[in-house]
Amino acid sequence: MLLIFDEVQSGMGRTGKMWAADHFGIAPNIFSVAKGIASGMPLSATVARAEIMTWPPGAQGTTFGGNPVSVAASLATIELLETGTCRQRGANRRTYDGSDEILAAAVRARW
Amino acid sequence: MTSRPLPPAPACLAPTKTRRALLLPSSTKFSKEGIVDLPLIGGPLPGPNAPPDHRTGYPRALAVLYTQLSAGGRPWRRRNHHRRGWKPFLDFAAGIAVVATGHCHPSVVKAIQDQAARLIHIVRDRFLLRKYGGAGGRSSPRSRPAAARAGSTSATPAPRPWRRLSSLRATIRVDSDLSRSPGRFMAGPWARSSLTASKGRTTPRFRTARAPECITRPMRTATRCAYGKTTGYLRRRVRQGDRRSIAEDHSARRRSGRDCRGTGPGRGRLYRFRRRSSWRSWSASPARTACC
Repeated sequence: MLLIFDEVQSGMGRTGKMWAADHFGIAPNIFSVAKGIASGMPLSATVARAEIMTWPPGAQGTTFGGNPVSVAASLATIELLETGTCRQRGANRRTYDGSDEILAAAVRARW
Repeated sequence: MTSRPLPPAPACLAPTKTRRALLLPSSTKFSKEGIVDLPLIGGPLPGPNAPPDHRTGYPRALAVLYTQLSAGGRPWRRRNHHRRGWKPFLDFAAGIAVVATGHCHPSVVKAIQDQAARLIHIVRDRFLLRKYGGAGGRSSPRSRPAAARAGSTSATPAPRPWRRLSSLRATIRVDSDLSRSPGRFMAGPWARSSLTASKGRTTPRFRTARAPECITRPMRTATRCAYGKTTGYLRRRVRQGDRRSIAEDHSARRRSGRDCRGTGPGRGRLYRFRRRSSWRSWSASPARTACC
């Protein structure tokens, strides 16, 4: 059985950690990333180990997927998030209703 | 933080439609460059306590200022803005719009500018990728530097632009043995950086009919088409155990004069290695018909 997480909204440092799953100590087999991956440039990704990705060649096609400019933006974004300044900021702020519940943080990014 | 009602916006200027839409104070100045003195927001703050948008049900979190944050990444502050009830607002918008690094972060802007000056678009389906993630190594095993041959975890930075691409691989740890596995297909360096690479793995049928050194070929020179068919030439080569690289074979054929000029016994076999001048006969060759 494969565990699939949708980290489109919650991933890329938006919950104070790189992925929202990190708060729970769970590692999925597959997870999807988008939105925050390139700081607003259009890009998305499905991340999994290679042995899962057994699609036949030609199973998926895209014209604009993996655009170099978006990928460059995402590399810069990933570097920023990995160095930790943005994520630290996200972890230190509180949600607007003042609660520290982790689920609220996972749904909405923390500030 | 409790949301308390804010004083109304100063009525020095009649708010335009844009200002209303963005919940901007009416004193917001505009110029040809865009909104110049923005990052102050009046009105309900975004967040769970904000009144929901009547269309989406989302909190009204989109009262944002999309410019002038690039200079240091800090919002411009108006004097006495606290007394006026306006709040400086650094937007890390979440929800539909996403700017987890803030708006116009200098390093992100620079990356986009540099890349846009170098290469904007590729037709990624012209490439075949055996595995996902960035490879970071160079195309040919022979020409690849030792650092890239040793694997992705090498601390020695590879020459540009491969080094930039390797950070992605380090972040999303998909596979580290890509640069070591022989006989695989890889795309060019730019396609290799694609996060949405669609050609995840070659089929077993394809694998048996592939020349071991045939890597980093666009679709025109690849050993297969998108429908899994292979050319007879490469099938024969693999069956005969020919382990020479295609590049060597190509140059040898050219030296010997059998370089697919359109006549002779080599015609139709080496069509994939012809130069551009013989493109026309390439498209009409029998192998082309059998492939696609």
